[in-house]
Amino acid sequence: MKHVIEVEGLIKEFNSVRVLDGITFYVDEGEVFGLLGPNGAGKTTTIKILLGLLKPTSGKALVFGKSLANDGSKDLRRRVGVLLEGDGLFPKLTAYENLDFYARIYGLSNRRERELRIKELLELVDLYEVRDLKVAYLSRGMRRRLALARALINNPKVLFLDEPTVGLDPESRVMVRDLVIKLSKKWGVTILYTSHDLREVEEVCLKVGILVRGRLIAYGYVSELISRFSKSVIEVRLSRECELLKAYNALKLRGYIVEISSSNRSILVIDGDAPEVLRELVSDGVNVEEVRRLGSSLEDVYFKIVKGD
Amino acid sequence: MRRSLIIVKKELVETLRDRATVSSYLFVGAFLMLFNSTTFKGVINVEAFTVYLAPVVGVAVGFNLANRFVREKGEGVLETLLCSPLTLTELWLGKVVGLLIPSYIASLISVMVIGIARGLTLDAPLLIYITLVTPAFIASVIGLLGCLYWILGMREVRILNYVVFFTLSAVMFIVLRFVNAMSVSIELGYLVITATSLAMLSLATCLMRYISKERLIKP
Repeated sequence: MKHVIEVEGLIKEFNSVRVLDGITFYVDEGEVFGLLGPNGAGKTTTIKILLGLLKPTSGKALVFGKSLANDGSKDLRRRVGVLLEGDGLFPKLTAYENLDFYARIYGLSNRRERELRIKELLELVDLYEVRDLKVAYLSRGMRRRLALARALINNPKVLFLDEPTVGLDPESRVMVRDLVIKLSKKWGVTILYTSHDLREVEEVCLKVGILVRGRLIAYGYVSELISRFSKSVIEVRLSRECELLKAYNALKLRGYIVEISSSNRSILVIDGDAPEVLRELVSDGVNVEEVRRLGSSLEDVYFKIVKGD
Repeated sequence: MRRSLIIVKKELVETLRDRATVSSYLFVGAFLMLFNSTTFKGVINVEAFTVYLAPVVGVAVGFNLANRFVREKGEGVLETLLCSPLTLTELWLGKVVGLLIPSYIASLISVMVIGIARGLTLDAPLLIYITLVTPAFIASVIGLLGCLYWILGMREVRILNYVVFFTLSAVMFIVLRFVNAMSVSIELGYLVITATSLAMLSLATCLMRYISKERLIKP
């Protein structure tokens, strides 16, 4: 499959301070790629280089095999949708006028087509009722939703979404999440997505890259990263609370890493094999009610990588 | 060019909804009323006064609107605009024309007010001056100002307003003085001023090519 986004050995320095240190990743057609990392890790800088707003110190940052930094990239820019930290909306214009402005800029010259597209998008983000209200009077969440509609005005083939759900209520977050999934699965839109909400990223993204201080520390499919970086944790629930200490000592003696769970009557065994743990506890006369493997999440992976948990 | 017209339209809509424009017009109106009521008829030569009044009023309104060259940065719109198919030159040109129109309208109104109140005789050279030289001069001041703001990283530096205005005014008045002293036809003088203004605009257009997006979005 052809890569839609290619980032290879990307380095960016501001006044001799290296903010991106040779990062490499690829995003294929129709994929949603999550770029994660703490504040200042280099996520927005990466996006800005890909969009041609910043020049790389060295390395490649290509979209459809071309750089958006070139003056001759007008046609390419028509295929790209952008939602950055700023909403990109003019406060003195109404919601409708803002979309109309961008529709014209992106070359939707047919008035009827433009009107239909704007109506469709305003309904999609549930803002049709407030279309004649100036953006300055819209709430933060409404502006963000309108900005999302703006980013879709040109039917983009590639979409850069930098924290699209910031300032949104839970209902709108779900709307954005579902829309992103629909865009990628139904219409094959390639999406580069950043967010601090790791659950959201896990639900939306197929692949992720984790940036820490300008370096791509982890990169791959979400499921792959979870199995690579997460510890296997087994929860052993006992029949009687009084046996908790007995079980704890028995496993500790056999060299297991054990923790008492916050809920009563259970202990957690890190990196243990469930049948073996069960066999050993039963042989020690402990009454076990249930043994189950706890699922790991992207959040666990993230904190393990970023904070070294 | 088509995209520049979209910017022009947006600028005009914003201008109509902007209190700064209304206050500019009110200021110009109040100044002219005060001037007309406190200056005795015959004390000034209306034709000569118009030569100064027209560009000064236009540039004064243009100064008031010049922050529009840098507004998008503060409003968080600039980066999104720069990601669109719009080029920097198209954006700048759209802004120049979008700000020139209200500035020139103010200039025309002021000439009309003084003209009607003081009985201005509109001969051919003066008509050329008002319809050609004045808008070219206002456009060059606005255009150079916008270009310099952008070269400085989208910062509105007020002192530049005066530097650009006084430099171009000096050129204009030297030409007019030269025309008077050398007994050259006034039309030729006007042509020189228009050509200089257009040359300044062309220079600004060329400079646009050397402004990087990175420079503009830098905090």
